[in-house]
Amino acid sequence: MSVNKLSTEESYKSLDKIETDLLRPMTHHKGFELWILFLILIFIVGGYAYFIQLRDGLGVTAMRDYSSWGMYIGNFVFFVAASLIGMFISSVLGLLKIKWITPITRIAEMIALAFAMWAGIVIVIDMGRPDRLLNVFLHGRFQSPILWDVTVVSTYVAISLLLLLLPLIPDAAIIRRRLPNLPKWQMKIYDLLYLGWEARPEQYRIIKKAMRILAILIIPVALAIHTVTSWLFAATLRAGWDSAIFGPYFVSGAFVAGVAAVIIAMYFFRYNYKLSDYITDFHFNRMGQVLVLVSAIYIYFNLNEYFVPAYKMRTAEKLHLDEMFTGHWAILYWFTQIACLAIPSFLLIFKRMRRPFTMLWLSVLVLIGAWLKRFLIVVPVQQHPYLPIQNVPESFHHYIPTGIEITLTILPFAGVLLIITIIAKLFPVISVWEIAHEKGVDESIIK
Amino acid sequence: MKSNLKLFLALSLLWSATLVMGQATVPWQVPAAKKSVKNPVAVSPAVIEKGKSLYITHCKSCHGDPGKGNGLPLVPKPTDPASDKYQGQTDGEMFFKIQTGRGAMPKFAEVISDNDKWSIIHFVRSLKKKSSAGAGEIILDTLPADLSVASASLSGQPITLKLKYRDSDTSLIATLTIVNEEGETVPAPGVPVAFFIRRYFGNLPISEEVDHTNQEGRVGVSIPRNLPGDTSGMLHIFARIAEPDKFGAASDSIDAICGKPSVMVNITEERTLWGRSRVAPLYIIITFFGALLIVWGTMGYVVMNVMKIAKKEA
Ligand code: HEC
Repeated sequence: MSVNKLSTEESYKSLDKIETDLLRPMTHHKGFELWILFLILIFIVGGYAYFIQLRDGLGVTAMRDYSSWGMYIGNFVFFVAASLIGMFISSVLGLLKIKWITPITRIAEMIALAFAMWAGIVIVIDMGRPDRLLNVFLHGRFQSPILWDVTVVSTYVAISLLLLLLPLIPDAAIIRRRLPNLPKWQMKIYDLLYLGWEARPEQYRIIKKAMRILAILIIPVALAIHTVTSWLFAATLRAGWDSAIFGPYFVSGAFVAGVAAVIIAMYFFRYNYKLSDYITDFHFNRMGQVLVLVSAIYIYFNLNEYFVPAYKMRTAEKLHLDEMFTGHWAILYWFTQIACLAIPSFLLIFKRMRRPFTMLWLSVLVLIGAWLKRFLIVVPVQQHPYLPIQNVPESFHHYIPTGIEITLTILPFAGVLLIITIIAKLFPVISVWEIAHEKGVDESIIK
Repeated sequence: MKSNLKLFLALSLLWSATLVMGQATVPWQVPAAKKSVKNPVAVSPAVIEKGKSLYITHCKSCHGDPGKGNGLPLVPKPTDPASDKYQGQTDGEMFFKIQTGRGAMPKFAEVISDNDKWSIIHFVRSLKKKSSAGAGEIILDTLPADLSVASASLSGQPITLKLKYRDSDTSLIATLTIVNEEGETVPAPGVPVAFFIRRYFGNLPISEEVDHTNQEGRVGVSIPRNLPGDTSGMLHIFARIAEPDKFGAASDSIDAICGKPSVMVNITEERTLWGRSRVAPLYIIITFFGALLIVWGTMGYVVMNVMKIAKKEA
């Protein structure tokens, strides 16, 4: 590592500034209570909607015999997708020894953990009888992607949690030293977490090795979580899902969603937490480039996924593709593909566009598109079963989400934000000790 | 199924052919020279047997069971080979007609060899002769004239059917008896008996044609040796009077170990992708738990290692 080491005196000064800057939001957080209140309000409304769904059954949704997977499953796929970003930033880029990611790894991991945890809950929301959840484990079939999905999502949550907690060990020590006046219960958390951190060399060795192992381990697990999710669809024979490239198609799409989510979070923390010295224009520039890269890969997969079957137009596929390209879903489809994917990634090729504010809005567009895309993958296919739809009630013929469904789709987003808010309240959103390392602060004083 | 389809095709073809030809019931003229051709094939039971099986394959679908008049309702109707009209022809006439065909009657010139055609003619001729088949042998279709008299006298009395299996030549013998006016139990000759094997979906006829009991009231059929039975090779066999309207109903059944033992595999107990979890393919189970073990094992290892941070300096 070619960082200029600072002298002891400079080290103390530098560390003090880093600590002050990064820990400040934990105690100075204007509007925090109001924000929490807002989230709780969503939870109350969502909770009531869920109560109605529990009481009356899934009939309160628009899901029927044909569209038995609706917005909830689309939402689930989106959540799993967004959760992949933790692995992408801290593992893939980290193992490639890309330096500039240090200030955003924790943000990425917070997002990953929050989305992964809520992905599991979203699935429970989709269940008419959540009391039977245990049956998936008791009677699940090893041959079914469903069992693998539950397994791999919970595994990913565990690894993400570890990957978030490990770098918090030295930070917990720092918090104990710098903010001794925090509430007692909060101090208990740091007491538990800091594990007697004294910045000894072998402690560094242990933690770095552990983080490295996890960084490697999380790659196959993250690939598995989204690939298995794609197999929930691709393992069927249905036109529109019966695709050999669904795995990589989903994974590449996940990176697009995740990078966009991180950019939005970066923007928010930079201005709200006053971290512009740490999350700089340079970081936005780089993340903009990353977004262009992952979008390009995703567009390439889209090309394969849609235009190869469209060239052949086999009967069943034609029905589906016609509805997407020119039929019922055309507006949504082209909006998603052009306005939310092609245009943002094209604009971001230009350096002038890779500025925080423009990137915020382009990322919001990309993220909306990412969500709509999951909806378009899940829902329209089911309206074209191989056997014609005959002699069924009118409501079976289409799928228009109900108010309850929309509420219960928004609820998990509030949940994700709540988790991120809590983590960002309890810990610095940027890893203090790793930044200090980067600045050349003497390792032995970071405790 | 397949032969039904063929039949249907033939039927519709013939039907249209007949339409085209109009109601051509002009007598079928055979050149004098052809008329007097003699059957060059020497007659023997084997030849008759062969002719019979050829008849069943090529002609029965239209001409029906000899003597029953149950040919297809075409116009003109395919003549019953046991009828006087048919038998009234010379062998040469028959051969010529089979060779050339007319209207709905196909041309068999290239379809079957001349020898085979002559064999069919021998078989058709044998229908007129009296059958002398004994018990256990397969006797010929049509009632000899004196048997039809005998069977006519049976009507009205309940007939008893007893089925027996003979292991030595895997044949079945049905013995039919009837109680006469004097109260004696006597054989019931000339009664058509059909033999079947019970299958899951309906009954499998053992032979294509229906045979009649001989003077001793017996009729037999031999069971092909390659029929799949249950796991022990058991076949569930039964015989019944083929024309219950005419002779009254009677039947008997018997189980005999004369089929090929079937090896029953319960496919739901095999390890398959579509099966229950308990019979999941081993590679999937190994992959699942293997991956789980590696990932969670590594996580456990990492956590245990990290706990060492807490150890105070030695
Ligand atoms: C597709 C139905 C069909 C098949 C199969 C068929 N026939 Fe015919 N056969 C007929 C019809 C119909 C006639 C009457 C034709 C006519 O008189 O124009 C006929 C007439 C005959 C005649 C002339 C009878 C008479 O009274 O003039 C003979 C002989 C004959 N068939 C023999 C055979 C033989 C032997 C076979 C088997 C090799 C056979 N047929 C197969 C339909 C068929």
